[in-house]
Amino acid sequence: MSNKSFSVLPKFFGNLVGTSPPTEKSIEGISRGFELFVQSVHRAKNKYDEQQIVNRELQTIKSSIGDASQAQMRDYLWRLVYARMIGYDVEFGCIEGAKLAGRMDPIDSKTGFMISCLLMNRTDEITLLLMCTFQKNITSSNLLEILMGLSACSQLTAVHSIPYILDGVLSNLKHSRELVRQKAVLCLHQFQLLAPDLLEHRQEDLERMLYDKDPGVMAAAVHIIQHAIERDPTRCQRFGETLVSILTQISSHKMASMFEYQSVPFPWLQVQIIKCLTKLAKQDESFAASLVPFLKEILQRTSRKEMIALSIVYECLQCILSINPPKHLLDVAAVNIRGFILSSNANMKFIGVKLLTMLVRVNPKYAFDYQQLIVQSLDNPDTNVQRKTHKLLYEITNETNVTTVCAKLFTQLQTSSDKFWRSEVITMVLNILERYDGDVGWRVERLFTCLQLGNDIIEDTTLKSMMCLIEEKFMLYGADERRQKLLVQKCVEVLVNKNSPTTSLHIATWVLGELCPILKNMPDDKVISLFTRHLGNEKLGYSTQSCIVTALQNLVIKGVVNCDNMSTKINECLMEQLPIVIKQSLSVLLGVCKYGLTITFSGNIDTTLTFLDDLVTDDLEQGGKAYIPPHLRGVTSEPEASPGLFSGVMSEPTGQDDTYSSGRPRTESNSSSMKTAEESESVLKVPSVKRVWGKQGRLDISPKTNMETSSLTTSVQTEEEKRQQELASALFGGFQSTEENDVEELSGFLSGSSDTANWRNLHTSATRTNTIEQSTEQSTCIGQQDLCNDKISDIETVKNTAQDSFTDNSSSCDTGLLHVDTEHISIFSESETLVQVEQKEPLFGNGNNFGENSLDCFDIKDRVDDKDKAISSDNDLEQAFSALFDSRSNESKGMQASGVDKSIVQTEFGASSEQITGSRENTENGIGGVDNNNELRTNNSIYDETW
Amino acid sequence: MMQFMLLFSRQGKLRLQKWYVAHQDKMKKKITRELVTLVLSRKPKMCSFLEWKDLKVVYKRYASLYFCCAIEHEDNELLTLEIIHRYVELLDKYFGSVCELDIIFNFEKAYFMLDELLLGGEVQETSKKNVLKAIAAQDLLQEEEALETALTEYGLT
Repeated sequence: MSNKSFSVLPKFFGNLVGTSPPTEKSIEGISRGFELFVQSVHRAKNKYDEQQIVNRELQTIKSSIGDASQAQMRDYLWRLVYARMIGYDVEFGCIEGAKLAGRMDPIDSKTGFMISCLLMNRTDEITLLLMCTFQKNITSSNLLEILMGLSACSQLTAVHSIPYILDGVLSNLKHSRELVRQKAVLCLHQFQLLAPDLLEHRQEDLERMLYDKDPGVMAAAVHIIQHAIERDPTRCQRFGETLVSILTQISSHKMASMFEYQSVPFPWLQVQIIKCLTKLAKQDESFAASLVPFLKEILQRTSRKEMIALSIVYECLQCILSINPPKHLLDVAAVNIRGFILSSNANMKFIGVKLLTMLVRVNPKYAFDYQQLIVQSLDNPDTNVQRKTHKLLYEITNETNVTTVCAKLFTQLQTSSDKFWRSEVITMVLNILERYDGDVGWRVERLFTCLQLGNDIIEDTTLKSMMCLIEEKFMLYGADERRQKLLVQKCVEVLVNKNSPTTSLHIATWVLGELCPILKNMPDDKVISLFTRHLGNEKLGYSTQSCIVTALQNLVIKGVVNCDNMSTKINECLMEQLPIVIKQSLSVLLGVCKYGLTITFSGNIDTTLTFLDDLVTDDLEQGGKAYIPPHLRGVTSEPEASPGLFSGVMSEPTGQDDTYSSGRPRTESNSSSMKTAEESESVLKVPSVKRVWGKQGRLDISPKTNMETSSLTTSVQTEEEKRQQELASALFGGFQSTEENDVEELSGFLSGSSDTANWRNLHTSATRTNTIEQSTEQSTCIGQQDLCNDKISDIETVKNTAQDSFTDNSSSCDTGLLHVDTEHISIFSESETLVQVEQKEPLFGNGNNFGENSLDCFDIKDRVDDKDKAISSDNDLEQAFSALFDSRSNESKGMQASGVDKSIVQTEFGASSEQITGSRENTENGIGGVDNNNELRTNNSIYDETW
Repeated sequence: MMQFMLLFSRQGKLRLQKWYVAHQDKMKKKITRELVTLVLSRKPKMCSFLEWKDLKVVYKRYASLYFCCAIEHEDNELLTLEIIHRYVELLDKYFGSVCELDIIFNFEKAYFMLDELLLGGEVQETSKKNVLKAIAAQDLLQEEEALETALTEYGLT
């Protein structure tokens, strides 16, 4: 009842007040009628009520708007705007709004324009009604009218009607008042966005506005410049200097205080200019180089107190990260980004993660410092942060952590419901699969998981790129047959499975069609029915069906199946209900079967092209250059190209000079490292040793207690933390593993060292030690002296050995060694932290050379297990670990020296393994690093004597 | 360039909308609905930036009102946050400690102010004083006119 009376009220009052002259309230812009209308809408109990109220109101307005006074008209129209906002159709108001805009009275006119802007779209035809008003306004002599006209026409002019008012707007560029010029420039900028070619002939005039004496106009003109740069950066090089000088003036507070915001001068313009500079610098290397000191200065000069200043810093960092910055600038950027990341403000943190993603794209090793943070952010309750962190993971993917990263991305694919995000994830996964040549089986599996999980969102373009990927990796001439078999196996599996999603079926039929000779050993009817059983599937689209038909054709043509068998099967299929086009192609195939048209592959291809021999010899005799195959060309030009084989980030060969130009680890192939893994395993075959560590982790758990007791004393970690650390070590294992050494040469070295320490009990195989000692003997002696001289490098080598032993372990599967291993890691990390503070550079100078030789080819899980034990044993260790990475990341010079003499590497190893054993007890308790060094030295000398 | 700006209450009621790109009504409603639900579902301590479809959404809550802007991919989020803040400052200055009701009942003023601050999705007038001056001048005109109308109504002119 009350409800009803309420709904009646507004209309009643609305009319009452609406028809009466506006009361004193109207000065504030609202009439009683409007207020009541809003109130009654607000009070409506449900949607139905609201509809009743609003519809009644709209009816009233509609009937009385025709003969309303000016003030009433405005009031009505605002009510319409309100109704429109809460979701009602008020189209009839548009025309009234346009009428109002055409009135002489400035208030009416302004309100009219405003309402038109709110009620109409640029694309609506009704905007044509306003064109005349626009023309009148922008050529008026009244300042107010011009301003109103300009702002409205920038919002409401349809693309095709721009020419009618263009001249008027352009003439305003020379207006005496700066406000008009500013609005005109902004208006023209809008037009440019709508029709980029329209203003081509007046581009000069527009760009001249950059030199206007009024800063406001100049600021507006920067939009124009930005647009020009976006269109054609090469043409706009000349603006670079001007923009820089403007920015210098602004940042040195030379603008009027009117343009300051929170005491930061002209922040909007600053950001805008930096954006322009970024775009220019991307095109022009030399300009980018000239920007370096300038950007550094901005970073220094901009305060960090105001929020708005941070946005300038943010933009500046974005600029730095997109122009291949030199090392010193990158370091400054990294420090700034750290500030963002460590901020307690969630917004800053988010920006920090975003910037970090860009930073690791330039150089992945910066991710080290934030292991913990990254791992925590992966489970952040805020999905937005989660996503950003996953993108970051994607950027730091390398051969070692690719499995873990993929697993994480797949979890996102499964759990997220956001289509956009999921398709982004799929793109990322595909990129990863394309980039890293891991285990073939794993890859095939991932590919199809991807298809399955993303069935609903995978589009044709994605499908196409997936096919390209498969073609490139599996089908090109000379592709590995083992790989093809794996792929075919999986595809058959998919086809046999009744619940396979359509996208998987599509890919699988296509693959099988291409690789059908592999199916030759299967019985004919089985092969054929593999395909035909899906032909009747209604869910499949036409493209998949035609894929099936093509596959069948391939079967026949390549002689995989008997033609008669095929004909009978096809005849069966033709009985079913199928699209006519499919039936048509099936009957064509039937004809092919009838005549037994097959292409027999002779197998006698002249691969060496002997028929060209004469030609080539003739050419060579006449002084022509000999042909060098593409894969050898790189070698001749770049003798240090070999590290490309080695995975990982630290050993990246791009580290020439101080810059990191390409950044992304795009190593070609992992096959060589696979080989070494196999080899090293075969070298270390010790029949007496029980296999405890498999590729998937630990096979037996019993002998672990020793290690656990030592860790129990200090560890007070929750399950959650442990889990996170496991993940961290899995993800960042790749970075660490890059420090690992040449497994082949130094395999099992650690066992020697562990013997000298008091860990004999951990060691299970004495025979092994002997063989290893033999192998290392030679190398150890040589480098001994050098090492004694330099304590720091000693520690470095300790670290390397520890890691080396790691790799060793995972391949040799020696139980005892594992514990040694983990201990080593903890030791080196501690000793590292203790020393690294003062002497970062020299400390790792040598160390990174080792990274060059690293080969990480083992299943990641091994490493995960190892490492996480080392890490989880102690929180301090964890910190030490990150500190270690920190210091290492500061160090990059040593990285390039890939061609280091191997013998030196080996000798250093030999020595360090000795030290590590001695230093163990010291470092375990985390005591002074200096003592530690002494200890090391003494150990070393003992070692000398032993030998 | 800013794509649109939405103001809505904690209950999800739209208080103000300004579109700088042309969309059909249906589309606008859909976007608004999705975005309002999305923003309201976020917890207070979460960050103010969202990546939504191919846009970035920056929102901030002031008392019971959410200010929500959609910007393009290369725009600066922090800057947008400050634009929102500037707008709130302007409203605050004009209304004197602004509240949701002020915006509901004076929403044309809020629109005028927004129009002075942004043009076509780009910041045009960053000076608080200038914006307020423009609005004040307009008020004055309106006042005069109102007086005039009142006088005419009573037959005094």
